[in-house]
Amino acid sequence: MPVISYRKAINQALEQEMARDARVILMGIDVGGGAGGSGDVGSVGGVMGVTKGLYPKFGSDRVIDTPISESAIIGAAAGAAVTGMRPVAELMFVDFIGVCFDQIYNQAAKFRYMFGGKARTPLVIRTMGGAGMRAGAQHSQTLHPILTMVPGLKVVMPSSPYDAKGLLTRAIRDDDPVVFLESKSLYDVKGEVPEEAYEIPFGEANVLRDGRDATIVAFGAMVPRAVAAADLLAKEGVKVTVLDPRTTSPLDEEAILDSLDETGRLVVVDESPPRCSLAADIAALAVSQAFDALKAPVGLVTCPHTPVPFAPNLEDAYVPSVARIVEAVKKTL
Amino acid sequence: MPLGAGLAFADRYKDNGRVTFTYFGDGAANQGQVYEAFNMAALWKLPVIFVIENNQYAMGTAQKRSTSTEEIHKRGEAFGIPGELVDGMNVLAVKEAGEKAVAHCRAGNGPYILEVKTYRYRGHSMSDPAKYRSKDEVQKMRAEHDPIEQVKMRLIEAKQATEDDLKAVDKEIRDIVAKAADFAQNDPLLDESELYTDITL
Repeated sequence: MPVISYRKAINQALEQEMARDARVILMGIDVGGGAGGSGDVGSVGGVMGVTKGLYPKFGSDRVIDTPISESAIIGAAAGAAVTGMRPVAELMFVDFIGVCFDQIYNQAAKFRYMFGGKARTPLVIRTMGGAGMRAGAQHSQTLHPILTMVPGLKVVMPSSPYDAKGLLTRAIRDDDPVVFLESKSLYDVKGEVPEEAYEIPFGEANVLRDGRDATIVAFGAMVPRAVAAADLLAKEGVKVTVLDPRTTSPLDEEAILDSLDETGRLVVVDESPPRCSLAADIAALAVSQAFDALKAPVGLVTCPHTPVPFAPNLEDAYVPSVARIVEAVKKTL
Repeated sequence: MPLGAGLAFADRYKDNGRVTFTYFGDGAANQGQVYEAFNMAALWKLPVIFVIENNQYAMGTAQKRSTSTEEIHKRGEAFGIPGELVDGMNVLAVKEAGEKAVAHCRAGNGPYILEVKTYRYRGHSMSDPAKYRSKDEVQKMRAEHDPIEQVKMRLIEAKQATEDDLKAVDKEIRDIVAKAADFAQNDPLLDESELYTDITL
């Protein structure tokens, strides 16, 4: 099987879906490559090069550089979606979601419900988040909790190249608005990805490690760290299950509760400040649905309740580390 | 831009005679919040100068592909805000336009727009290799329009300074920058407890 990067896997899903379905278009700031200047047309492909090569292949009708107007980008994509198109709108950094949030949570997410099930909004919003890039407090957040709490939105956090391709393909074919949250720190991570198109269903957790001593639930960029922690613990004889729910909405509650039934110990790893985080959400799930199964308090490994710091050592300390995950698991034993 | 309007609102409220300059680019000029701020600033006659630094690229997208009308300084007309196009590579032109705009605000006439046409030699950010324009374009701009070179020439022609005087200024600035970079790079890293500095909750 070909080994490609997370970045390339996303690019491949976009390319294959665009080739398959003429209703799929891309729009966003510099997604085409900033053509129209005196330079090399189609050379940029987004600020991280994820859409590189799509502009030369599909042209300016389908790979559309936009003004720096997030409200209009997301709103226009939602409007086009209700007519039956399948736009993939890029919101460069998830940190900019505040500028266009009304179009997302008060418009796109509510169409199906408010129009009596008659409206479909097959909109995908691709955006990236996460710390570790030395990009400062306004370009390093994750913000998935804010999106997860909105009824009507589907929220995807791919943690590997394989998942990125399959989940994005699913997102584009889905009839509801989907926010596809890419992790900046994973773009260069490589893995096996089939050449042909495939879908990964939403709401089905991936089991990356199977053990009976404790369950770690992790999302996005925290998944590889949870796996590394599990492998370290295995060397000490502690066998841990690692669950990646893949989508935060819908959430595979069953997989989490089933695993908890077996292990009785839960650690949630979430790259987010602790209040109203997925860590808090899943802890609440465990306490309310599986109280009898719990043998220890739920371990929450999150960021501190601060903005993302700029000093490199503080930024590294901010993001949940493998060591902190190991420590949290040991505390439950 | 709304923040700039807020500073100007406070100045007018306090009646302190101050004027606010609020800066944004040709890219940000396509944000809806700009026009909300324009309307409010004009409505309340706020002493604020909206400076549009038009470097001709909205990140990687050329102005003609990101902006429907080229003359951004005219976008205040709908709100009754006067606007002016300024050669941003000419220091004296910028100074003159700034003084005129300040006088307009101080006289209680409300906001003013300056579209300052300029250029950036480098990419938009650390991840921008700026391949959307040719090296020739950048080189031509440096060679023919560099604002600092123009000032140097003007000072020498007017016998206000000699080449040696200007070289000394260059050296002094280089030293300041080198010292600042050195300080930033060699300053000890912060203690982890500093994570919580300046957060009240």
